Amino acid sequence: MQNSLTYIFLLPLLVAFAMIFIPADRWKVFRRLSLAAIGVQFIMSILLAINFDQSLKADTWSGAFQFVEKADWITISLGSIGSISIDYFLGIDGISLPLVMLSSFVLLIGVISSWNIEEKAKGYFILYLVLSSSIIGCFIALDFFLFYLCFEFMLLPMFFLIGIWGGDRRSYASIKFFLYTLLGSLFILVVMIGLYLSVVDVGANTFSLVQMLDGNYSSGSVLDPNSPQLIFGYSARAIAFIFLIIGFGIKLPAVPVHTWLPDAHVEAPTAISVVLAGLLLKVGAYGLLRIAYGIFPDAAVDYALLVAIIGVVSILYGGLNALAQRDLKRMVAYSSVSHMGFVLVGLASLTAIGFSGALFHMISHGLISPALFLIAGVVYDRTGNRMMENFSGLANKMPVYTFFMAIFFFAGLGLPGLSGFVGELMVLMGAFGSSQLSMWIGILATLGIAVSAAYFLWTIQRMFYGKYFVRDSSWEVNMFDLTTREKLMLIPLAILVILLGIYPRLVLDYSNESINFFIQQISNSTP
Amino acid sequence: MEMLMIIVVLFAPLVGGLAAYLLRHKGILLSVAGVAISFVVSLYLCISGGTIERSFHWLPNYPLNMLADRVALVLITLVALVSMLVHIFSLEYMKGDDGKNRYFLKLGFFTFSMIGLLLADHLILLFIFWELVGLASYLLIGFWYRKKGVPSAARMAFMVNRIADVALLAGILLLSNNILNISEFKSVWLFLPSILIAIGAFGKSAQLPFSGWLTKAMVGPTPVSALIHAATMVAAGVYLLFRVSPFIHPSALMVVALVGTFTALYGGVCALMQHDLKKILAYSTVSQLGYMVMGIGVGAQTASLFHLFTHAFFKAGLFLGAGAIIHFMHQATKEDTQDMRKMGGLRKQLPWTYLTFIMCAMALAGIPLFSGFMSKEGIIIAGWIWASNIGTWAYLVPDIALITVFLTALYVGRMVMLVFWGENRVKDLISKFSETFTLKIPLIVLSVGSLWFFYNWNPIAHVTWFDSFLGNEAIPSSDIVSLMVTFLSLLMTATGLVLGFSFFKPNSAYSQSYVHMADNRFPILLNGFHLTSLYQLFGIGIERLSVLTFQMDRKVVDGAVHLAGIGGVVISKVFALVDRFIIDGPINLIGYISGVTGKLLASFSARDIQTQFAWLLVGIILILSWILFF
Repeated sequence: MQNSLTYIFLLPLLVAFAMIFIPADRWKVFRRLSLAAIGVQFIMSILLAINFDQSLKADTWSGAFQFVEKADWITISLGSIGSISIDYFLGIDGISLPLVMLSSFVLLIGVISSWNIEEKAKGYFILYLVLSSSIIGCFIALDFFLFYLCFEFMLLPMFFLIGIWGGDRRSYASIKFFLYTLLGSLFILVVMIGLYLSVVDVGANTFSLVQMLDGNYSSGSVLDPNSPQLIFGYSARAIAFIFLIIGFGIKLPAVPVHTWLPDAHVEAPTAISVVLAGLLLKVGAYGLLRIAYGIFPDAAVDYALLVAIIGVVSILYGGLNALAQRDLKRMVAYSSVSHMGFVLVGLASLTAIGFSGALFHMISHGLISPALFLIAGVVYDRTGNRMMENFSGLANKMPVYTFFMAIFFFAGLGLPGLSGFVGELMVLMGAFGSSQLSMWIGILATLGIAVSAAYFLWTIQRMFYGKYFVRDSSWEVNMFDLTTREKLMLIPLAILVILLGIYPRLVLDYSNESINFFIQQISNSTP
Repeated sequence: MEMLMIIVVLFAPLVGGLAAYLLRHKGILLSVAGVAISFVVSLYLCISGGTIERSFHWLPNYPLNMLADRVALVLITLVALVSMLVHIFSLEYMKGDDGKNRYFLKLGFFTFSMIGLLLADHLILLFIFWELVGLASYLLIGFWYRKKGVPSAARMAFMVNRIADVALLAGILLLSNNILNISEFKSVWLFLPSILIAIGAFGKSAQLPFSGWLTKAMVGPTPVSALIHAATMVAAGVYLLFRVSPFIHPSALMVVALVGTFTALYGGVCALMQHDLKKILAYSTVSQLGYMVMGIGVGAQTASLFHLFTHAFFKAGLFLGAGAIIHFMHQATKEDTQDMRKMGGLRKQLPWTYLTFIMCAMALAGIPLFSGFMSKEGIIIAGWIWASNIGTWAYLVPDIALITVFLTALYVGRMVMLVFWGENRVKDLISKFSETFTLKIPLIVLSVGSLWFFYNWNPIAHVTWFDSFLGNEAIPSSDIVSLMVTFLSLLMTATGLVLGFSFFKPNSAYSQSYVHMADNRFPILLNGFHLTSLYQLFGIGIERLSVLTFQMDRKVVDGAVHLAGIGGVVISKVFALVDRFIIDGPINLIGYISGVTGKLLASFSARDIQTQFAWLLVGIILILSWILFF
């Protein structure tokens, strides 16, 4: 398993590079190559999971990661000031492994979903593969600079994928998306520089996340917890934490910095919605978990209530907005906002079960929301329309479609036996069990499960129950049931959603030790 | 071995249902077989006694307990039995439906979830199955999803339950994160979690203010109503309350008693004026569930559970009887009718149904020699004793319970008269209809189960083998109280039945004009005090709120973003102007000045070579003279 992370990380990029030299009129080659590249990536991530040591108990963060690869990458001497050294530093623990698995799986689904892209296929698939590499890179990078690079690099392909292959208002949506996330990145950049100046590895400043997690600060530096520095009267660490909450919160997205998401989703092609909802949001959540909570546990304790309130507001506000939608895809987009609120509440609880819940919810939402976008895509592909009032009684005409819709809608509303419930339950257990949060946070978050039921059931009633009806008679010929390709995407997703709902330890056994260690580190650092 | 048996009991109905679904029409008998296996094995386990306990780690380091003690096993046997009878009944009832394999899958899924619920000892595990039975209920109510009104009824049932479930889940999680096994609780809970869990139970058991969904749920297939919305699922709330009643805070328990009491009255009053046969039975179920909840509240746990048990038999029998009637009406009139204004005189066409229906109805009305009498007495007696311990006002509870006994007898009398007696109110009725075996057998089993000797040879006893089997002490009651209550309730029943007979007998004024009775007589009672309209109003309120938040999202949040965007553009335009005039200005000025100077200088230079040469000479002379003279 040597260098396996590098292969997983760079293989799509390599294939994308090779694609440049293939003439654009052989457009079928691109999708096949992409499928092969992502397929290999997926198989390798399975091998990774098989060889992963679940029971590894760590004493420090430097011992917590597996499959570690480290090499000097960039060293720039700056004369008397010192030098900037950036490492190529990869590794995974029980928190990132499930996310790597999820990424390669959802990316595979995304390729299948892109199968009908014929227009400018070369550009599309090159961008898609670049996106794939950078998403995986975010989850395995242990050097902050490398992480940041990947984090930024997701933006560009996404911008073009929405802006070129998107819907009617694609340029508005893509620019909104770009500016929003760019703004978030700036906040993260500031913190990254602050951390670089504060954290040392054998005497030299470093971008190493591991050193940052272990808290090897040089004394007297800006972010040194032992000598708190004040900026405008606030502790520098608190400001850094808030900056990270804003930066990753935009990506998550948390209310009130969420409005890029519905627009981006509605305008993006189905495959890109799948990746966007399934993975990009998880990068934000992962950043919060690993960087904001890992490096600034003291500030996390101080601001637990703030984060929890943002989370609860996201849950309820996102849910209510979803209820108001008439556009199926927009409804699903707002449901994502609502669901990612649970991740925030889980993190804010600062308990092992809350953290596990947040991670599990990330995985589960990473399966459910792509499926929901595929479900919305089915209707849109057939009719070019997604407004709910234009359809009724689809259960009659498209029973298989209705069957899958029901699985994922009920997974979305948190029905036990499906994965959505487990994450929500664990998050709520964390929220109620947390010493940082009042019980009202828990009670309000619990209300979220009623709101989610409201919009999903309302949609079922309007679109699937009742007498069969479509607005435009010219759509009639296209209202056939699921095609093989659509089933090929939905069946694996459905199996995983059910499997994780019945046996959540498939994920939790991997993450358990890492999260316990994480919580232990947090309680150590906050006396 | 026993564990294996439990697994068989749990999964056999689901496997049978799956077989029915996958094998289409050939497999439907397999689903009956699945439930039958489940019934036989659970009966064996029930008789052999013993407690089976097992815990498994669903989440890491978080064991969930399942516990099959006597209470659970008795109820599992009951559920499996009723489910089996409903399966058999459905063979005939759903014969012509093209979605019947889907139907049997859902029935099997329901039976599986209900048994799981009864097996759960850990509250989270209970909640999991609690939600699953809710889903089964939703799917089965919405089974005929094409019919008007069905989708919204299904959604209302799910949503009302879901809102109560929020309370339940919050209550469970408020208790503690570590010990949630019911059998491990030691002390009484605080008030808030107690009341939240009770609210959860109210939702499932259709107590006020959640009662509305149950009457709406009657749009589902009638055998489903018998199984889910009468005998088993709606009793889950009572079962939960039974399990946790030792730990509920005393004030919360008092709320439980009052809610149960008023629900019993509410159901009884509303059942009086219905035209829809199934709605009478639904309100009657609400009322009877109210008795059970009240019983839990006044401390008559075993009596409540006993009433749950007997009620399952006679109410399932009544619903299946109604199913037979509806099935007959469907064949006779070629339309779906549950309206009693179109019935009457059916005892001639449906003799077996008539007989069994009467037996179950007597049990419901609480006549001696039937089970309902025995179980209801126990609850009311306990209520009386409870009231005597609390104070005068508390006699409200047993008093209302007694009034409800009267109401029950009255509406039972009315229902039987209007459906079975007199002449048929539809003229051109085809009378050829045979009650097939698959219709008859469930009816007979359920009606025989409603007889007294099943529980105690003494027909007016309210202490039965049920108490000793569950190992619970019967409530100590003085003979004087129990005699008095028995006397009072018999009086109530008799008055109700006599009044019912004289009001609604075939040649009475009411009966004569009944066929033309308009819908808008007693609209408040007919609509159950407009409870469902209240829910709809609430739903509309939430929808308005959601529209408001969406507008806020568009105008305020996105507006701010756009403002920031426009602000950014404006600022950059200003900067561009600054750039052009202030920063570029001086530079351009310098450039301009140098240009002008250059031009000026250039103008000195003459056009021909001679002049230039002359200037050159002048220059040289000037320089030389500077060197020479300074």
